[in-house]
Amino acid sequence: MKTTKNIDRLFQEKLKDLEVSPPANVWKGIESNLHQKKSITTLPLWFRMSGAAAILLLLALGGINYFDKNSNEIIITDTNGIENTPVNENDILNPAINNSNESNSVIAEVNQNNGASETLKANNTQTEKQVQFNSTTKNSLISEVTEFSNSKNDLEKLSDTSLSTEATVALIDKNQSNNAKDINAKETDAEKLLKFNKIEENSNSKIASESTNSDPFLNNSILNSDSKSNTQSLFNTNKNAIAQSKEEGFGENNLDAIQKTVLKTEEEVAFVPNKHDELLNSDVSEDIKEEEDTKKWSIASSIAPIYYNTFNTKGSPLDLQFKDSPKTGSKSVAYGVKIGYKLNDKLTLQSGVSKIDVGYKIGNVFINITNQLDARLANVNYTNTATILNVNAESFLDNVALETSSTTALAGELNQSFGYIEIPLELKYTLTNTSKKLGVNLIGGVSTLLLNKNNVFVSTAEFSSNLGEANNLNKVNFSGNIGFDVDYKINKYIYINVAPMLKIHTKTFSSSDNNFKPYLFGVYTGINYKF
Amino acid sequence: MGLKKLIERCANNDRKAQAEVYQLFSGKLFALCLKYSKNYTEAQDNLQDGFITIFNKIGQYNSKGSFEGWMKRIVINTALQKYRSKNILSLVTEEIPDEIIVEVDEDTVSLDFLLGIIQELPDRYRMVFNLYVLDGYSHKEISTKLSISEGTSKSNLSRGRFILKEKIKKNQFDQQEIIALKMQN
Repeated sequence: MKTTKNIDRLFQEKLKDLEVSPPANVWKGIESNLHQKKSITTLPLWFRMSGAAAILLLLALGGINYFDKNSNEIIITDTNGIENTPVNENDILNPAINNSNESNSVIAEVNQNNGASETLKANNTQTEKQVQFNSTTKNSLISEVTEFSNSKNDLEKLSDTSLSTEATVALIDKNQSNNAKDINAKETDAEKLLKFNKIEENSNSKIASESTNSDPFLNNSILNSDSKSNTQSLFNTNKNAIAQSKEEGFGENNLDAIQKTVLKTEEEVAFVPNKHDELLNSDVSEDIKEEEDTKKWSIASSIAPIYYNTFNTKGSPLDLQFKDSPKTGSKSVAYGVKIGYKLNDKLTLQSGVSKIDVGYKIGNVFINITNQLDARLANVNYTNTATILNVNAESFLDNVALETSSTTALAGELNQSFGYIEIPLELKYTLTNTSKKLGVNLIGGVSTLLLNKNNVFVSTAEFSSNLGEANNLNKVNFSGNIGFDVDYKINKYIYINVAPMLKIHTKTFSSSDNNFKPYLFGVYTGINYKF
Repeated sequence: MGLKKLIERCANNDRKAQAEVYQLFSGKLFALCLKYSKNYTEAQDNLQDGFITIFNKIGQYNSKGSFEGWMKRIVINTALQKYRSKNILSLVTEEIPDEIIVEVDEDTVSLDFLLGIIQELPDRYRMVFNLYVLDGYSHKEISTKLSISEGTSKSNLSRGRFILKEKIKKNQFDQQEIIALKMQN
């Protein structure tokens, strides 16, 4: 049935309580976006931090691997050198000693006898005093040595029966010749000993010299412990032999002589490597020092949480009306690379490149829609779509509110954000001794900042919109930097540093900054690599 | 009371509560989106964006006004914002009478048809018509919301009405034709 109707009423009545179920994918879209939104707000800092951390970690791991490889190589080449010569010598002596593992196992076996020989040791030390007393004269010692070497063959036999391996015999041989050598050195009567034990002595002295030479490159502790355990076991073996020879009815003198040499050997062997250690260590540390001194350059990846705000909260570079509005600084992360050049022990010149994003918020602003040209903010170049947005400070609103409808003015925030490429030039003065692991330094310098981001936007409960860009930001500005730097050396190539820095920005705005004095505070951390 | 608690839970990013709010209001708000958008897909987008804003800003809802009204405003703003970012406004001033009366058989006019012809309106006519006729905004409010003068708002409304009337008239005529044809057969 046809009726005449006001078109407004028709639509109002028909569409009044219209409800249409949206398709299911809309909720999915919302859900995923909400999730995304959440991750956007919480992730970026973490994400960027973790990214940087990952890079630092990779660098660190890469570095450690690299250096590990280096030191491994050194050890390998040197042990080869060591193994080669002694092995050859040992070949002559006894084929069984060829395999160091084998001899080690023998040593292990021998060590098991330690407990039994412990008591003997005590006896030995007692007798040693007598021996020392007796052997004050050269002749007596020589005779003892003669007796000792005479008894060598007997000992061999004895130990053959007691330990029943050729390797042990060889070890005993070696030890005896060591004893002989020690005595020889003291008595300066090499010829006599050479007569007794020519081959053995030669080979042993070679081994000794080999090991001494190769020590700097070797893992000292391993070598020392090896040689010590060697001596220990050999010592024990000898004592076993002595005990047996006692049973077999060897003369007291002989025994004394043997015991004495055995003890002396122990002392000598224990003493000599220690002395070597001292020498070697001092050599190595000197080397490191020298190397450190020669490393002038360093490169670092640096990352810093930064905080940007103004010293004078009563100012606004955007428009004078915001001078009293509350302002909040921004937190973000700066990252970049740093290069250092060591001028001398105390001074390092450092530069680099880093990217910083800064900004701040002006609170208590009201946004409504207008077409009044005069309502625009003084120092903002509006984008086309933003021309309808009218942004006012709260104080300013009272005047305007009467004209425009206050119901549509939305409370919100005015954000100004800008970013720079920062090129610092800083001088680092070292307060502590450079050789220390932990160093404290003072840093002062200037940065050149190149503007690469410029954005002004508003955000309210209902929407956020880009306004445009500030027209009074300088393309290039500067900052004065001051701070201190604590560094910790991980090894001679790598150190980590933490530097809290205050950077005072100048010439940020070309004009009418309305007393806005920005500063930046950041804690710059980095992993540094010296080369 | 139940709604207040639901809103609080939404503010704490409780996904279940958000789903519940969506269930409760999506029908009405989607209808709103359909009116303000030029097609179904755009309406979907607006609804989605609107709800995302709603859930992100739900903590700022001060519980003084109606929650539904608050959401509607957000959804309308979402639709307007898109429209704003898409179009550079042009000024049109025409004088067309305020009241437009149309002859219509309400039984033959379907809801889909009415919704369809709103969507077919030029963007700004659609916005003004919706804001003024269906959502009760004044010309003054519309003028600030759309950054046009009140006069423009008024003339846009009249133009919109006129287009709608013509379409309804044509539809009614077509309907009669169909009926006539049916009777002939």
